[in-house]
Amino acid sequence: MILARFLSDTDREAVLGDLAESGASRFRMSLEVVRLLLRRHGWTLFLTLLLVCFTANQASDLAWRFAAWFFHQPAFAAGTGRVPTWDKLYWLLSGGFGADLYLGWRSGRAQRQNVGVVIVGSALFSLGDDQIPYSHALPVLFGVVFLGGGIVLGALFGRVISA
Amino acid sequence: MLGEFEYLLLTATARLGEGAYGAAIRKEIELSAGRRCSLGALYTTIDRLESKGLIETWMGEATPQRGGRAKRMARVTEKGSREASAFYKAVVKATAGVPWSVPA
Repeated sequence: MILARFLSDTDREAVLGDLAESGASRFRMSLEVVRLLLRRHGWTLFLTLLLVCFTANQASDLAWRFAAWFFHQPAFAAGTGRVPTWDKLYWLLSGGFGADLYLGWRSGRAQRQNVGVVIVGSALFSLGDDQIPYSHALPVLFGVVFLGGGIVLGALFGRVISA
Repeated sequence: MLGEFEYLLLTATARLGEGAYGAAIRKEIELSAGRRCSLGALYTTIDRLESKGLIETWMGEATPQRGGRAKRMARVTEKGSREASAFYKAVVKATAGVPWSVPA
Protein backbone atom coordinates (compact mmCIF):
# COMPACT_ATOMS: atom_id res chain seq x y z
CA MET A 1 0.00 0.00 0.00
CA ILE A 2 1.50 3.29 -1.13
CA LEU A 3 -0.02 5.29 1.72
CA ALA A 4 1.69 3.09 4.29
CA ARG A 5 5.03 4.50 3.13
CA PHE A 6 4.14 7.69 4.98
CA LEU A 7 3.78 5.86 8.29
CA SER A 8 6.68 5.42 10.68
CA ASP A 9 8.23 1.96 10.86
CA THR A 10 6.53 1.30 14.21
CA ASP A 11 3.14 2.42 12.94
CA ARG A 12 3.49 0.41 9.75
CA GLU A 13 4.18 -2.78 11.67
CA ALA A 14 1.61 -2.31 14.40
CA VAL A 15 -1.24 -0.70 12.50
CA LEU A 16 -1.08 -2.79 9.36
CA GLY A 17 -0.68 -5.90 11.53
CA ASP A 18 -3.74 -4.98 13.57
CA LEU A 19 -5.75 -4.36 10.41
CA ALA A 20 -4.65 -7.65 8.89
CA GLU A 21 -5.54 -9.45 12.10
CA SER A 22 -9.01 -7.93 12.13
CA GLY A 23 -9.56 -9.06 8.54
CA ALA A 24 -10.03 -5.53 7.20
CA SER A 25 -10.52 -5.15 3.47
CA ARG A 26 -7.94 -3.30 1.41
CA PHE A 27 -10.26 -0.30 1.19
CA ARG A 28 -10.79 -0.29 4.96
CA MET A 29 -7.05 -0.51 5.51
CA SER A 30 -6.45 2.47 3.23
CA LEU A 31 -9.13 4.46 5.01
CA GLU A 32 -7.66 3.70 8.43
CA VAL A 33 -4.18 4.64 7.24
CA VAL A 34 -5.46 7.96 5.86
CA ARG A 35 -7.25 8.67 9.14
CA LEU A 36 -4.12 7.86 11.12
CA LEU A 37 -1.98 10.06 8.88
CA LEU A 38 -4.41 12.95 9.26
CA ARG A 39 -4.43 12.60 13.01
CA ARG A 40 -0.68 12.31 13.19
CA HIS A 41 0.40 14.89 10.63
CA GLY A 42 -2.73 16.72 9.54
CA TRP A 43 -1.83 20.14 10.88
CA THR A 44 1.77 19.92 9.69
CA LEU A 45 0.61 18.84 6.26
CA PHE A 46 -1.93 21.62 5.93
CA LEU A 47 0.44 24.30 7.21
CA THR A 48 3.15 23.11 4.83
CA LEU A 49 0.76 23.13 1.88
CA LEU A 50 -0.47 26.58 2.82
CA LEU A 51 3.08 27.91 3.01
CA VAL A 52 3.85 26.34 -0.35
CA CYS A 53 0.76 27.97 -1.88
CA PHE A 54 1.55 31.30 -0.28
CA THR A 55 5.13 31.20 -1.53
CA ALA A 56 4.07 30.12 -5.02
CA ASN A 57 1.46 32.86 -5.16
CA GLN A 58 3.95 35.52 -4.15
CA ALA A 59 6.54 34.09 -6.55
CA SER A 60 4.10 34.28 -9.46
CA ASP A 61 3.25 37.83 -8.48
CA LEU A 62 6.94 38.77 -8.46
CA ALA A 63 7.48 37.00 -11.78
CA TRP A 64 4.73 39.04 -13.43
CA ARG A 65 6.10 42.27 -11.99
CA PHE A 66 9.61 41.36 -13.11
CA ALA A 67 8.30 40.55 -16.63
CA ALA A 68 6.51 43.91 -16.78
CA TRP A 69 9.69 45.71 -15.77
CA PHE A 70 12.07 43.67 -17.91
CA PHE A 71 10.04 43.72 -21.12
CA HIS A 72 8.71 47.25 -20.58
CA GLN A 73 5.19 45.90 -20.94
CA PRO A 74 2.95 47.31 -18.17
CA ALA A 75 0.17 44.99 -19.35
CA PHE A 76 2.02 42.11 -17.70
CA ALA A 77 1.61 43.76 -14.32
CA ALA A 78 -2.17 43.71 -14.71
CA GLY A 79 -2.15 39.97 -14.24
CA THR A 80 -0.13 39.99 -11.04
CA GLY A 81 -1.13 37.50 -8.49
CA ARG A 82 -4.43 36.62 -10.10
CA VAL A 83 -3.96 32.90 -10.22
CA PRO A 84 -7.39 31.41 -9.45
CA THR A 85 -5.90 27.99 -8.73
CA TRP A 86 -4.14 29.35 -5.67
CA ASP A 87 -7.35 30.90 -4.41
CA LYS A 88 -9.09 27.57 -4.73
CA LEU A 89 -6.23 25.86 -2.93
CA TYR A 90 -6.52 28.36 -0.11
CA TRP A 91 -10.19 27.44 0.23
CA LEU A 92 -9.31 23.79 0.23
CA LEU A 93 -6.67 24.30 2.88
CA SER A 94 -9.03 26.34 4.97
CA GLY A 95 -11.39 23.36 4.87
CA GLY A 96 -8.45 21.24 5.91
CA PHE A 97 -7.86 23.38 8.97
CA GLY A 98 -11.52 23.02 9.82
CA ALA A 99 -11.28 19.25 9.44
CA ASP A 100 -8.21 19.22 11.64
CA LEU A 101 -10.01 21.22 14.31
CA TYR A 102 -13.06 18.99 14.12
CA LEU A 103 -11.00 15.81 14.38
CA GLY A 104 -9.04 17.38 17.23
CA TRP A 105 -12.21 17.99 19.18
CA ARG A 106 -13.49 14.51 18.41
CA SER A 107 -10.31 12.80 19.56
CA GLY A 108 -9.83 15.05 22.59
CA ARG A 109 -6.18 15.76 21.79
CA ALA A 110 -4.42 18.94 22.85
CA GLN A 111 -5.91 21.98 21.20
CA ARG A 112 -3.19 24.56 21.51
CA GLN A 113 -1.37 23.44 18.39
CA ASN A 114 -4.59 23.38 16.38
CA VAL A 115 -5.61 26.85 17.44
CA GLY A 116 -2.12 28.14 16.72
CA VAL A 117 -2.11 26.58 13.28
CA VAL A 118 -5.51 28.03 12.49
CA ILE A 119 -4.45 31.52 13.52
CA VAL A 120 -1.22 31.38 11.54
CA GLY A 121 -3.00 29.69 8.64
CA SER A 122 -5.82 32.21 8.44
CA ALA A 123 -3.33 35.09 8.62
CA LEU A 124 -1.27 33.62 5.78
CA PHE A 125 -4.45 32.80 3.93
CA SER A 126 -5.65 36.39 4.17
CA LEU A 127 -2.31 37.90 3.24
CA GLY A 128 -1.85 35.51 0.36
CA ASP A 129 -5.19 36.18 -1.27
CA ASP A 130 -4.56 38.92 -3.78
CA GLN A 131 -8.22 39.42 -4.50
CA ILE A 132 -8.66 41.14 -1.18
CA PRO A 133 -8.09 44.89 -1.26
CA TYR A 134 -5.38 45.28 1.33
CA SER A 135 -5.79 47.25 4.49
CA HIS A 136 -4.78 46.53 8.06
CA ALA A 137 -8.18 45.28 9.17
CA LEU A 138 -9.44 43.49 6.09
CA PRO A 139 -7.05 40.54 6.07
CA VAL A 140 -8.06 39.64 9.60
CA LEU A 141 -11.76 40.03 8.80
CA PHE A 142 -11.51 37.95 5.66
CA GLY A 143 -9.40 35.39 7.45
CA VAL A 144 -12.13 34.90 10.03
CA VAL A 145 -14.85 34.67 7.36
CA PHE A 146 -12.88 32.18 5.25
CA LEU A 147 -11.95 30.12 8.25
CA GLY A 148 -15.60 29.96 9.33
CA GLY A 149 -16.48 28.55 5.93
CA GLY A 150 -13.55 26.18 6.23
CA ILE A 151 -14.71 24.88 9.58
CA VAL A 152 -18.15 24.10 8.16
CA LEU A 153 -16.54 22.31 5.23
CA GLY A 154 -14.09 20.66 7.57
CA ALA A 155 -16.82 19.41 9.88
CA LEU A 156 -18.56 17.80 6.91
CA PHE A 157 -15.26 16.34 5.72
CA GLY A 158 -14.39 15.28 9.26
CA ARG A 159 -17.70 13.48 9.64
CA VAL A 160 -16.98 11.45 6.55
CA ILE A 161 -13.48 10.37 7.50
CA SER A 162 -14.23 9.76 11.18
CA ALA A 163 -17.40 7.73 10.49
CA MET B 1 -6.62 14.88 34.77
CA LEU B 2 -7.17 12.17 32.18
CA GLY B 3 -9.59 12.43 29.30
CA GLU B 4 -12.44 9.97 28.94
CA PHE B 5 -10.85 8.05 26.08
CA GLU B 6 -7.48 8.03 27.82
CA TYR B 7 -9.14 6.45 30.85
CA LEU B 8 -10.88 3.83 28.69
CA LEU B 9 -7.57 2.98 27.03
CA LEU B 10 -5.69 2.70 30.32
CA THR B 11 -8.42 0.50 31.78
CA ALA B 12 -8.51 -1.78 28.74
CA THR B 13 -4.71 -2.06 28.78
CA ALA B 14 -4.68 -2.91 32.48
CA ARG B 15 -7.43 -5.51 32.05
CA LEU B 16 -5.62 -7.23 29.18
CA GLY B 17 -2.38 -7.42 31.17
CA GLU B 18 0.39 -9.15 29.24
CA GLY B 19 -1.82 -9.51 26.17
CA ALA B 20 -2.36 -5.79 25.62
CA TYR B 21 -1.60 -4.61 22.09
CA GLY B 22 -3.36 -2.39 19.51
CA ALA B 23 -6.03 -4.69 18.11
CA ALA B 24 -6.81 -6.29 21.48
CA ILE B 25 -7.10 -2.92 23.24
CA ARG B 26 -9.36 -1.65 20.48
CA LYS B 27 -11.64 -4.68 20.78
CA GLU B 28 -11.72 -4.35 24.58
CA ILE B 29 -12.71 -0.67 24.37
CA GLU B 30 -15.43 -1.41 21.82
CA LEU B 31 -16.82 -4.21 23.98
CA SER B 32 -16.69 -2.41 27.32
CA ALA B 33 -17.73 1.08 26.21
CA GLY B 34 -20.02 0.05 23.38
CA ARG B 35 -18.51 2.56 21.01
CA ARG B 36 -16.46 2.37 17.87
CA CYS B 37 -12.77 3.04 18.16
CA SER B 38 -10.63 3.92 15.15
CA LEU B 39 -7.02 2.84 15.01
CA GLY B 40 -6.04 6.46 14.39
CA ALA B 41 -7.60 7.56 17.68
CA LEU B 42 -6.13 4.55 19.45
CA TYR B 43 -2.55 5.01 18.34
CA THR B 44 -2.45 8.78 18.76
CA THR B 45 -3.79 8.33 22.29
CA ILE B 46 -1.27 5.58 23.01
CA ASP B 47 1.50 7.94 21.88
CA ARG B 48 0.14 10.74 24.06
CA LEU B 49 -0.14 8.49 27.11
CA GLU B 50 3.36 7.19 26.52
CA SER B 51 4.75 10.72 26.28
CA LYS B 52 3.06 11.49 29.59
CA GLY B 53 4.68 8.39 31.08
CA LEU B 54 1.34 6.69 31.78
CA ILE B 55 1.98 3.62 29.63
CA GLU B 56 5.02 2.05 28.04
CA THR B 57 5.13 0.23 24.73
CA TRP B 58 7.49 -2.08 22.91
CA MET B 59 7.39 -4.17 19.77
CA GLY B 60 6.33 -7.77 20.32
CA GLU B 61 6.34 -10.87 18.17
CA ALA B 62 4.89 -11.26 14.68
CA THR B 63 2.25 -13.85 13.79
CA PRO B 64 1.03 -15.24 10.44
CA GLN B 65 -2.49 -13.89 11.21
CA ARG B 66 -0.99 -10.40 11.19
CA GLY B 67 0.71 -10.87 7.85
CA GLY B 68 4.00 -11.41 9.66
CA ARG B 69 3.90 -7.99 11.28
CA ALA B 70 4.91 -7.30 14.86
CA LYS B 71 2.54 -6.19 17.63
CA ARG B 72 2.98 -2.98 19.57
CA MET B 73 2.56 -4.23 23.11
CA ALA B 74 1.50 -1.88 25.92
CA ARG B 75 1.66 -1.84 29.69
CA VAL B 76 0.29 0.63 32.24
CA THR B 77 3.02 2.24 34.32
CA GLU B 78 2.76 2.98 38.04
CA LYS B 79 2.11 6.61 37.24
CA GLY B 80 -0.62 5.50 34.83
CA SER B 81 -2.25 3.38 37.52
CA ARG B 82 -2.24 6.32 39.92
CA GLU B 83 -3.74 8.68 37.35
CA ALA B 84 -6.44 6.19 36.37
CA SER B 85 -7.26 5.54 40.00
CA ALA B 86 -7.48 9.29 40.69
CA PHE B 87 -9.76 9.74 37.67
CA TYR B 88 -12.03 6.92 38.81
CA LYS B 89 -12.24 8.31 42.34
CA ALA B 90 -13.03 11.78 41.01
CA VAL B 91 -15.83 10.42 38.82
CA VAL B 92 -17.28 8.35 41.67
CA LYS B 93 -17.08 11.33 44.03
CA ALA B 94 -18.61 13.70 41.51
CA THR B 95 -21.42 11.25 40.77
CA ALA B 96 -22.29 10.51 44.42
CA GLY B 97 -25.92 11.29 45.16
CA VAL B 98 -26.81 11.95 41.55
CA PRO B 99 -29.50 9.56 40.31
CA TRP B 100 -28.68 8.99 36.65
CA SER B 101 -32.00 7.27 36.01
CA VAL B 102 -33.54 7.92 32.62
CA PRO B 103 -37.19 9.03 32.90
CA ALA B 104 -39.62 6.54 31.34
